[in-house]
Amino acid sequence: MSLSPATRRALGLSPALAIFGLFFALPMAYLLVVTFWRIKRYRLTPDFTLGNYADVFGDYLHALGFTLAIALTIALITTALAFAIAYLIRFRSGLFGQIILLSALATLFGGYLVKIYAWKAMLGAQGSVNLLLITLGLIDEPISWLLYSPAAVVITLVHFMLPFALLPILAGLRGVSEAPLEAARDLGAKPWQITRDIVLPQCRGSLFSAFSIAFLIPAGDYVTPRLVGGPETFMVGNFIENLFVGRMNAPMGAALAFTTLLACGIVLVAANWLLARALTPKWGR
Amino acid sequence: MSDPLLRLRNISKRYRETQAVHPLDLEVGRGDFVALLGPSGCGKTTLLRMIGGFLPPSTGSIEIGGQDVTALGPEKRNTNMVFQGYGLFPHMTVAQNIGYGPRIAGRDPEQIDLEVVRMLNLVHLGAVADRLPAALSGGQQQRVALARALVMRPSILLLDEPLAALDLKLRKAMQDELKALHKAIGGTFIFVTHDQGEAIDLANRIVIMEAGRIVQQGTPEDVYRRPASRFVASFVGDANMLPAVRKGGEVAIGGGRLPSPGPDGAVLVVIRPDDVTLGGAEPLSLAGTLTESRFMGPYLRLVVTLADGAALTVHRPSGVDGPALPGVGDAIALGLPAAACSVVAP
Amino acid sequence: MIARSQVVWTAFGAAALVFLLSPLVLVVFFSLSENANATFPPGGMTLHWYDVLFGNPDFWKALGNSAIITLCVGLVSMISGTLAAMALARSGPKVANGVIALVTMPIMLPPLVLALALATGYSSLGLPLGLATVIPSHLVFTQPFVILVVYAQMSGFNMAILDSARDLGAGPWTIFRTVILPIIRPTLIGATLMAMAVSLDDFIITYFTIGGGMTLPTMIWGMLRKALDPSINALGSLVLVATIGTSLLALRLTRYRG
Repeated sequence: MSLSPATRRALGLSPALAIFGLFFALPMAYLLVVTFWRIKRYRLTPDFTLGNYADVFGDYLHALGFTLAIALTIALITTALAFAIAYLIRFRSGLFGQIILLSALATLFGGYLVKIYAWKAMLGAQGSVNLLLITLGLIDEPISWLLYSPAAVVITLVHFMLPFALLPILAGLRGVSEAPLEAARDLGAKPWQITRDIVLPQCRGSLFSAFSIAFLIPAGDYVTPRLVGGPETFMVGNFIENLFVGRMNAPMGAALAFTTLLACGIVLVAANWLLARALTPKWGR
Repeated sequence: MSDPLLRLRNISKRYRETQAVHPLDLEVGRGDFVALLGPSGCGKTTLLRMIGGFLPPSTGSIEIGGQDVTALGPEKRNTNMVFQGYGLFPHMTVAQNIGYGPRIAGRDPEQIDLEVVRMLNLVHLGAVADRLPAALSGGQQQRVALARALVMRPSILLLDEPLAALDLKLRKAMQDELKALHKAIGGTFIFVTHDQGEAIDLANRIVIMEAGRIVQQGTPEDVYRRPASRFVASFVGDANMLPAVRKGGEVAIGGGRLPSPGPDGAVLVVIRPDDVTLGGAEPLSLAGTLTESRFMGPYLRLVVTLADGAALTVHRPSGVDGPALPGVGDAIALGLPAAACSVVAP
Repeated sequence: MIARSQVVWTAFGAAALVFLLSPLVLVVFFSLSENANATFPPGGMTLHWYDVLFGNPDFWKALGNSAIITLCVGLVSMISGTLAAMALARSGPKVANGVIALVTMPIMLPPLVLALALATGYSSLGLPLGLATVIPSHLVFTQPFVILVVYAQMSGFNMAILDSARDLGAGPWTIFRTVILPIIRPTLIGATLMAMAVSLDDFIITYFTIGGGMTLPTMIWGMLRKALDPSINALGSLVLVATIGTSLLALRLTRYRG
């Protein structure tokens, strides 16, 4: 049996692409089609209407804006923290950095729900965070808004996304070679100037990867706001889930989901543009 | 040297288990072009990095222009470095690379532009000012690195293996350019190299290092003509080393005596292949058999096996004139001009 | 100056480590302590909550389902991911990067969207929800991990080895069995373990595609929504130990460091 290399490559890719096509591309395309359908007597009915999108813009614009703001906050904090930790691992500390890296990697794949409810327990009035702050004498009585608030959602999701953001940034920092950093120092740059002028621009791509994942996943999350967000913190994910499960209105839920994805895409394009603008040296041109 | 620009006193560097540089003293005068020459691992780069402030010395002090800079980092020293592999900022254009130092120093933007243009002209890079380093040839990158360091008007320019990454032809051209640059700006250059040819061509002073110690320093001619040790003799240029014995301040060789003060005992007589003469006219002469004759381009490389079995290499110009050479297998007489011989410990 | 910045960085590192690990440590800690409210003071040490959990028949059902799903997903994503990674390693970098960007989309998007797309699709086709719908739904977001990790190793593979094996007369299957597999085996197993950890831990996609069944994460969800059940800490700890243990083993095998 002798197959041409191209045929062999195609055969090798076919199972993975079949899985991708059948269980990702096809359902996603179908969901996109469904956004133009309607519900008639609790049944999905093919149609071509933009009514669902109109309703989304009418009813959920506020929730969408709130969600994007929270996701943006999470993404910014996560990316900044991840950069600082990656910087520590790459440039500062040998063994200690390795311990942090190993912890991040080991907890990367595990415990989504466990992490959320752990924070639920920790952030409560009787929780360990308040207990710690009281013990340290920083506060006199428990902070009540730690749990069931947007702050709780931000803290929980920053914790969950941090390992995901750390990995690409660390890979980016490892790609920054030593000599340009020494050269900058030799030319008189202080550590923060070296970071700003030499390090950050060189890991722009990985910063954006980290930012993207730390933005997209929280933007579509509904479990975290449900468990720790309290009644005030309704994010788009909660509405989407409610439209599908509670109100059995898949077309509108799907329209909201795709509107959210589109909005996220726009935010990411803008973020990438801003990042490029901020990190490309323009002086002297 | 009454007023050296750079003075190292008792400088050493010790890593956990290895002594990279043993305590040493070194002085470099204003306007010098110094080569730190030695095989890899001899401590020359460590020494250069201590001068630049990238490595704190384990002992000793460093003075530049009379000021003790031992405790200062590279950002606070008036030295600048051309790094091995250049260390250009990959995301900045040539002009931005060169302008980075003045910009960090907070100089006036118009002033910076003028400086950058002056540097671009100095290193002939005006045409590529707006390109990124990745779009440049190796020689161009080298010149950007030079300009980026020189724009800071360093009192000492440090160069770490500046030509190692270039191919042979470009290396020769860059050697000429470096020399011209040194002459044009009249600065003090210290460079590290493992290439003795490069050191001899560029430097007016060569500091030879071996295993963390300075084993000889002097003009290129000094270290070539009067090597202080067997290591220097073999590291700098080709050398014939003939075992001999010293007795009463004289070394017996080639049927004669070579005056050489020192203790009695075994020694080596060093003579360069191009200093050996053909024919027995010299007072010191050896007889042997021509066993190999190889055309090397500009010269012929002759190998003569002596009666005791030792082999001696002789270089002759390969030009058409000159006496006819004996053929391989013929007997041949060699002369050792006394002035060209030096004596080192075995 | 240097000393002070060192202190600041060390303090920051310690804080980061506490932030990353303390929630997980506390879950395990409270799973072993008497206080049913999971608050301080914790009371004495006890295995009581594990007894309660093991006495719950739902736990064994959920464990069985999780085991079946994880093993099937691990096996299939190992095969599909490795075949794809090997094909990509022999393709040009443009094709490889394009395919990788495509097949990793499922892990970049919010899982809720994919979960609802799959659930809507299954229900429109009239497929009964169950393990048979969960397993392929997991594959789509586990195989990218296998592809990424194995491709990273394969693209650093010295292709001359394969050429010399061919030169010595080995056929494609022999080359795979005697040359490629021995070299990539640790990576392969490690990548599969990563895929299994991701599958074992998944909640959202499982929840929407399993119908009435239960896995360990959906059981946690159920306990969270009911009145306080302290054995949730025991269950959470078991899931954590399983996923972190699997991940650590995977990291050791693949020598993957980010």
